[in-house]
Formats: sequence, structure tokens, C-alpha cells
Amino acid sequence: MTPEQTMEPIAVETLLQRVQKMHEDGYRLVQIHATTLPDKLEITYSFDLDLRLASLRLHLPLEEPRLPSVSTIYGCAVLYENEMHDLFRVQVDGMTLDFKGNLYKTAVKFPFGSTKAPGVTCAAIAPAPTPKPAAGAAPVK
Amino acid sequence: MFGLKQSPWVIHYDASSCNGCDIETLACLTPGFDVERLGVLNTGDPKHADIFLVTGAANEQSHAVIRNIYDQMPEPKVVVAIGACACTGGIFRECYNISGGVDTVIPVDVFVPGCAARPEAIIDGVVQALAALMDRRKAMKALGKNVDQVLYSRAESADAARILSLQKTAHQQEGTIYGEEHVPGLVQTLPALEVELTQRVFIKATVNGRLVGVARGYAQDRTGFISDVIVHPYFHRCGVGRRLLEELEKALPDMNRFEASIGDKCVESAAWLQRQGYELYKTDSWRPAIARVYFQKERK
Amino acid sequence: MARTIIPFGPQHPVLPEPVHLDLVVEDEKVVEARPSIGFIHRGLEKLAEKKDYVEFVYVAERICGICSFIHGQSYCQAIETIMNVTVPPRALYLRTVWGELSRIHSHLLWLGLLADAMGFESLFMHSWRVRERVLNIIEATTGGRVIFGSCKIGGVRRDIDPAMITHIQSEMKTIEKEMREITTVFMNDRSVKSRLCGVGVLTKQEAYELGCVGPMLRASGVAQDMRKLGYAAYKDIPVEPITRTEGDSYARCAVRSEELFQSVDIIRQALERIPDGEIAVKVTGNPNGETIMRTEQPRGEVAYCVKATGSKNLQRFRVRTPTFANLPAMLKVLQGCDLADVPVLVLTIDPCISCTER
Repeated sequence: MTPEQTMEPIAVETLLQRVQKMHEDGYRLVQIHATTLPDKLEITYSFDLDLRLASLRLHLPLEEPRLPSVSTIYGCAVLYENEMHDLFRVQVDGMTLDFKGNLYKTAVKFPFGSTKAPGVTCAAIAPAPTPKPAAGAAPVK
Repeated sequence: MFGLKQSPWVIHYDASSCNGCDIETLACLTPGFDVERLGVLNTGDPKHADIFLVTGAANEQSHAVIRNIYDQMPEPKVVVAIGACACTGGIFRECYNISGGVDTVIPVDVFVPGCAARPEAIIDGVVQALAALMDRRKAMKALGKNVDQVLYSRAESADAARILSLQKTAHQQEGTIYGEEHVPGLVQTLPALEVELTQRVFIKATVNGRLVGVARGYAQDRTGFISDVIVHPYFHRCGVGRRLLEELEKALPDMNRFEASIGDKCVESAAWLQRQGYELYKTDSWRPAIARVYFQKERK
Repeated sequence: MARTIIPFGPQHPVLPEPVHLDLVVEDEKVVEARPSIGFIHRGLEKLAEKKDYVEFVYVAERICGICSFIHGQSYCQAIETIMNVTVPPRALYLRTVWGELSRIHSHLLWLGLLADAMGFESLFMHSWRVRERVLNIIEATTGGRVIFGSCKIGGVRRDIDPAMITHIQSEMKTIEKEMREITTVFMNDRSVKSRLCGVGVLTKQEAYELGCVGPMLRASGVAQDMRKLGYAAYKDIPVEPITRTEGDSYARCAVRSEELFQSVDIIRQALERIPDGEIAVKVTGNPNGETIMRTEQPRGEVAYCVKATGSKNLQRFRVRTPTFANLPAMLKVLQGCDLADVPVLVLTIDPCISCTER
């Protein structure tokens, strides 16, 4: 009974074109999400038309991932894109509503972001071992 | 403060819970449990509330909100942490955005366990909070009576906002009698008070860093004019006002006499001034329909 | 005219949960609403790295305390799909019963909160009084009131015995009768109508474009309900989406009111046709694969994106909750509304902020 889910790999360059096609075909945007893989970042766009779920998938490098915004096509995409920026450090260009990293204020910046990205120390991924000061040692400032 | 125990007002805030404890807290107020029949009222205004019910663990963004609500609640106040998350962080303890239980942000008096906490447990928590509330009230009174623990010092311009808030509380009775627009203490603005702070002598009384009373006055032609002595209602009849007046008189040296004036309908204040050695010497009409009585005291 | 920004929330008398809106108003009209969320963001998706996939059912149930069961169910279904587990039919039926009970309790909760936002206190109390009856059934069958913990990968944890089935059936009759009385007021009362009719209109086109789900979408005339996917017992018990065409707050209220009785009907059919047999199968090994599982929650479609690589911890767990999808629509209907209508409009999307921010 469950209609088949489709997953189609695409390239970043063709993203806007493909999403535009989806929009013209009458698809509803279901969700956008990112996953950190060991060597790359995986972005999935899911669309729905009459209970059929069609997904587009693309890959980004872990270092300085960049993505064009689809919010001019699907207005509701801004929340997903801001979320991707705040949690995964994905730079999304041209969002119609940019929270500038303030959608979620997190204790750890970009908690899902890659540890390999420059300038990111992610305590949630690799907690830094707390050095135990030796007895009588002066407190480290 | 009998009413405090009979009808505690509660305020609820969801720090970052899953909703389970929130809807159970609300369920306490609705048929089935209905704590309203016992006088417990849910209010949305922190300044109305005696008991702060917090659900959920504290996250990065809710810290400031929890603290803000807590600071705005009048003393005495108690905090009830509802549910496993509010107590310890619960299942979300290891999440990157959770700093732990609510006690990492504000002091908590009663911990209600459960995931989700059952309404019966929440009601039990509120009952325990009542006992804590009464204890705190007693402790506050005791602290007020023991004048050595109240710190008297000159007020500074940094105190302006707190003094304004205190005078709005303390002049409520006069506001009811004369109408708010006729009570200078109630219509004064913050900039006006800041100017006044530079021109007059202000003595403040603080308990644990919290402002509980202020006396202000100024000197003119060897007469010390006492403009105002206010004490937070919780610290009435504890000797704070008397001590404030004494300190103010000391701060205005070289005066032959002191003068104070109040509205003719403020009988309690008149009686208080007389107990401090002031004598009635004249009455006049300050504003249409408002008579003012003047008290004076010679310096011994 | 000068514009003023009025902050709304996070702590607000009408909201049980914190959400913050900056309302830009001209006189009494809201021109724009700017949301800021994150007051309940816990980051539980990241917990998938610390808790194994079996334990994670408990975390999924605690995404939200209102639709807790369906969250657990959706997560279990996602893992079962990846691992090719065939769940015994009795368990599927039990999940359906508990899921629909959750839906009734959630909709009654929402109706009550809506009445509270309108200032109709007695209606609020009556809605929650009936809701207590539903919670009593849930408590009798699972042991919990709002978070049940009765769903597990491979089936369910508890069975319902025939005596309890009879009890639920008779109790449903009472609940249905009492819900009929309440919804009659919601649908016909003059003061309710004056607050809801024509307020916050969302056209069919707008609702679809903005990515609305659930009752929000159905109230604007789009017949979409994930239960038509035929998961759990919905393959045997067909569900016809309830729709309205007006797209205003009244229509959203009407859709949810009617869904109450649809759920009663589903529970009744499920209890009549419940097959005998096992309630769970043993699940061994670790999941390896990926799926997007969609189910219908009281607030609409939820999408669970689960990716596993054969270890006991999931590589990625992501949930797109219905309120997250409905937020753009809320901002849309707030534009141009009266300031005094803001609480009602915020509530008409049935916001579940705990879900949204995870």
C-alpha cells in the first residue's frame, strides 16, 4: 500500500532548476535536512504530491558548505534553511528571511557541524578532556 | 499573610520540556483535579505570583527568561521544579543545549519527580511549597526585626530604578485614598528621580542586597525637610522606618528643627510620625480638596 | 502612521509554551510578525549518537508530551521499515487505538485552549473534563497519562484484555455523547463564531504553497491525510480526510471537532476487528538503511528521516514536526489581523513548540 519513496541524486548546480520543476509540477515541500557523513555533508529535499514522496539529494564538502536558497521558490523553506545554517554551518545564499544564525541560540555553535571545518570546536562531538590539575597546582586561568 | 497560605497564586513557565508536564500542570487546574477550588490561581503575571512552577530542563535561551520571571516575583517566593527534566535535566541531560535542571539557574525549593509528573504529585509539590513559603515569610519578618542585619547607607544614582519600583509599591495606599495622580511618589518618572537623587539626601535600607526602605530629605534655612520615608510592606512594623528616619536626621546636621508633611487622611503615617517625636503644628490646603498636615520636631 | 513593535511571549498568559513574536503594529493592526524560536530547543536529534536505537524510542516519545505515542509509533515504524520487521497485526491494531486516543485527547486539549484564548472559560473546563475521561482510558491500558511508553520496535509492550475492550467501548459512548455537547457549542455559539468566522483566512493555494499540513491544510480544502498511506491498521480501516473550504479559524475548529468523532469511529472499528495473536516480535541486529517515515499526528504530517549504518547508534535522526511546517502559515495569517486576535490566531495552528524545536 505504501507508495514507493524515490531518492534522486542531483548536483548543486541543478538544484534551483530541479526545485523549480517540482514546484511547477505541484509538489509540496515536505522537509529539508542535512546529515554529516564522515567525508561530506548530505542534503535531502523531500517533496510530496498525492502521498508520493520524492526526494532530491546532493552532497556538499565538509569545509565551508554553500548552497543556493530555494526560498524564492518555496517560501516556507526559510525555516529549514536557517536551521541548516544554525545547526550544520551551511551557508545558504539568498534566503528571503535570514535570521543570521539566531533561529536557535545554542550553547554549542553549529552542534551538528563538522569538526573538520576550520575554527569549529564542537564539544558535543569531541568533548575536550578536562585536565586534572595536580595537587597544589595553581589554577589555570 | 493568612491569604498567602489559603490562596497561593502560581505562575507556570515551560523552560524546555516536552509538554508532558505542562499539560499535567494545566490539568491540575481543570476538572478532575481542580485546585482552583482550593484557592490556587494560575496567573500570567510574575508580579502576581507566589509560587513559580517550572517544567523542563534549562536550555541556553530559557536561562534569561527563567531568571527574569524569578526576579520579578515579589518576596516571599518559592520555586517548584516539576518533572524529571526540571529536577536534573532528565532524558535530555546529555543534549548539547541543556545545562541541567532548573536549579542550575535559580534556587529551587521543591522537586517534583516523574516523567511526566502526575497531577497528584504536582499538587503535593505545591502543598510542600506552601510550607516553604510560610517559612520564608517568617524568616523575612525575623530578618526585618533584627535591625543589625539591615544595612543602612546612602543611596546612589544606580539605585534609582529600584527606589522607583519600591515607592510605587509603598505609596499604593495613598494612591487609593487620593487617586494616583495626586501622589507625587506614584507619578514621579525615572529621569525626575535621577535628578532628585543628585539634589537631596537619600538613605536606603537593604536586606541581602535587596532594597526594603528609603528615606529622603533636604536642608533649607537650618530646617531639615523630611520628604519621604517608605518601607516595603513586608517590612512594616519592624523598626526599619524608625532607623531610616534617625539616619536621615543624622545625615542632615546643623539643623534646628525637622519638618514633615503628609496628607490629612493618612492617619497611620500621622500616628507613626507622632511616635517618632514629631508634633502637629499646622494644616493647610495643598491642592484643591487635599488638605495637608505638617509635623515638626526640634533637635535635642 | 508610526509603527510600533510589540513583543509577544515567550512567557504569555495564553501560551502554555514559550514562543516569541515581535508584532509590528500600525495602530491596532498587525503588519508583520517576526518569530524567534529556540526557547525549547534541546537538540535531541543529536542524542541519537549517545543512545542506541532501541533506547531512542523513549527519546522520540519525549519530543512532545501531547502526541507522544504517535512520535514513538512513527519512530518504531521507521526502524521496522529499515529492518524489515513484520509487526504482528494485533500490535498494529493496538497502536491504532492508542494513536486515535491520543488524537482525541490532543484535539480536546486544543479546543479547550482555544476556548481559553477566546475567554470562554467554562468551555475550556468542559473540554478538559472530557479529556480526563480519555486520559483515564489511556492510564488504565498503558499505566501513563501523557507519556505511555507502550510502543517498542517490533510491536507494543502491553496487551488489552477483552474486559478492558468492553470497558473502552462503553466509555467511548459516554465520551462521544459529551464531545457532541461540547462541539455543538463550538460550532453554533454566537460568541465563538464571532471570534472565529472569517479570522485568519488561508486560501487553498496559500495553504498548499506555504507547506501546511494536517487540519490547517484540510480546513483550506486540501484533502490530505497521511493515514491514507495505510500504515498500522489504517490499511483495513479506511480514513477519509475531513475537509472544509472556508480556510478560516472556524473551519480549522470544525475540522478538528469532526476528527474527534472520526477517531471515535476508528477506535470502535479497530476494537471490533482486533485480531488475536502476538503483540510483539523479537528484533535482533542493528538497522542498516534509510527511510523517511510519514504519519499523521493530531497536528498533521510528521516526517521521520532515519539513517542507519549498521551500528547500534543511528547516523542521523531527524524529525520534521507538523508545527514546524505550519509556522509560515501562522506568520501569514497574522499579517493584517487585529492585535486582539493574535492569541486566537497563534492557537489556531495548534502550535506545539516542543515538537517544533526538539
